[in-house]
Amino acid sequence: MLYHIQLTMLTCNNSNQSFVSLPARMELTETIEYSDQEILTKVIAGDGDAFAILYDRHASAAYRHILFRCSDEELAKDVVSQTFLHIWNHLRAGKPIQSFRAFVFQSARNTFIDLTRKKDFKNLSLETIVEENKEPADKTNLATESIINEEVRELKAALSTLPLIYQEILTLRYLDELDISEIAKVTGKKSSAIYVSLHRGVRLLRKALVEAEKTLHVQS
Amino acid sequence: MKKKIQPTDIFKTVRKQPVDTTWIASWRTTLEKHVADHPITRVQHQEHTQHANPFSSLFLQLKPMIPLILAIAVVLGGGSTAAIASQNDVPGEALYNIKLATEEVREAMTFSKEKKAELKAQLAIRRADELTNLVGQDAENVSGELVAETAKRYSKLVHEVKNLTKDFSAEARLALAPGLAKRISETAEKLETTQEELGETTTTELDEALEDAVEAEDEILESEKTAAEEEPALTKGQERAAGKIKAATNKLNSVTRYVTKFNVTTEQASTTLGATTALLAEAEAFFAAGSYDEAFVTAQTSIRAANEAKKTLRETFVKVSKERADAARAETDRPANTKKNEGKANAKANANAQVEVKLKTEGVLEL
Repeated sequence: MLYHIQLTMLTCNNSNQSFVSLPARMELTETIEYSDQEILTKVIAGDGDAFAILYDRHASAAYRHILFRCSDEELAKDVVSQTFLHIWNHLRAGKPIQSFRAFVFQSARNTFIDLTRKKDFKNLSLETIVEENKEPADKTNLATESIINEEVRELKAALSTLPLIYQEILTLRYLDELDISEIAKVTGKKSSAIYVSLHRGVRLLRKALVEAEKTLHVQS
Repeated sequence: MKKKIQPTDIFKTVRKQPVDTTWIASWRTTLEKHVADHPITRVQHQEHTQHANPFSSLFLQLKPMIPLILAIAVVLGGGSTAAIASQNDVPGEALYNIKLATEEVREAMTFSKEKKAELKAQLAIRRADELTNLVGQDAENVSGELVAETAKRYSKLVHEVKNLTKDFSAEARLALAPGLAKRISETAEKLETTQEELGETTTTELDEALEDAVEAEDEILESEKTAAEEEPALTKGQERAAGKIKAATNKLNSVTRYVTKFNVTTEQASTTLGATTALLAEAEAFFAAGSYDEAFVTAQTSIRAANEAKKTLRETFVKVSKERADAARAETDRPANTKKNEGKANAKANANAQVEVKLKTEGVLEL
């Protein structure tokens, strides 16, 4: 996938290392498209600034993904920071990355699992948050300001009734907009299995949402 | 009418929510510092790459050479080192013939037309480079015979690439012809430089080789153009995917017809049918994008969903039919009962009337 990058980011290169073949001097207002893979080539060639561009592209999405899954701002920050440090170490070790976006989500997923296991994350699960109406303490944070509203709360509640793998696949597909092959890489499953899970997951989620609505209607 | 819940729309709403990027931006500085303190060095990277993955690019490059090295080793009795050492030799040097022999073995071991054309184009580049090196060493005293021989070999390779390309399928021509033409064009430029360096001493064979290169490039590009105009033949994967999509479309139509014919539907069935339609559209999109395997799998899932919808509809239809039959039976039975009851009521009314008349006659009622 191609993205627009402001060339200012490429030209304001303070490092002694620089892009080998990317244009060194261009009009600052001009925009140009480079794929993740092209930028990754520069990173592997030793251009640290190029890695910051990849961070700018994907950190927000990874942060939103984790925040949506756990509603814990601090944990989301930990996951994202550790994810990018892990990716950098992975590249330093000379290991290849085929799809950068999929690799970011895969690393974030693994880091999230590790950290939640260590922190005994039971009390912060989606289900508990929804059931206990628990919200992060800081009222100015992202969760309270933008994510937690009634519709999202209902979605989270319905999602939490689904098996974990469906929760993950549906979030990766419809929130993060990963394509099927990327989700397959992130979850380590076959594309065909992802299709089936998506199909069943959407069906189950709709059912859960309908039931939640009925319950609400009866209560009111 | 009640709006149908669409989970994907709710996800869309979440996606549209702005993400607070303050922390993301601030942590960028930390990351930049870490990256600057722990840079990637090229040597380190290459060493690790080779160590980490034995099937690295170097290994992959050498992989096709393994049978060749073995073959040469057998022929020369342990002379595989000579085969490797010969790879940089130019015409006239001691090991050049071994280089040509290794190339012949490689050609003999390449079977598909496409790979053969790629290999021959690669070898044509080698010949052009050899001509450049030959003339570059000493343009004035270079052997005209060696230049002529190498140019002939070059011409032969270029002819073969051109002829092989003609035999490609339309799809392969579209995919490979531009690359092959580009390579030949590059070699033609090298030949031009060589020709200029030789000046008056240029050979007829070199001139002919240059003409052959230009002609081959034109013909290869022309074959690409005709391939684009031809109806591209479907590959096996395409055929499978197209067949599955057709089957999914038929299945969906059949279920839709079932709904119309028997005038029966349920919420569950309509949900499943909606998923079927969405999956089919996705399969068609994959097909259009050339992802035939994904198109196949998606169409297959669509068929499964359609079957599931039809099963639900059948069950509902059986249930509804039974209910209708019961209702019809009840309707048929009702007049008989009603008649019976009406008869009883009439008899009772008549009896009452008779009693009333009797009582009136006797003057009791007035009392």
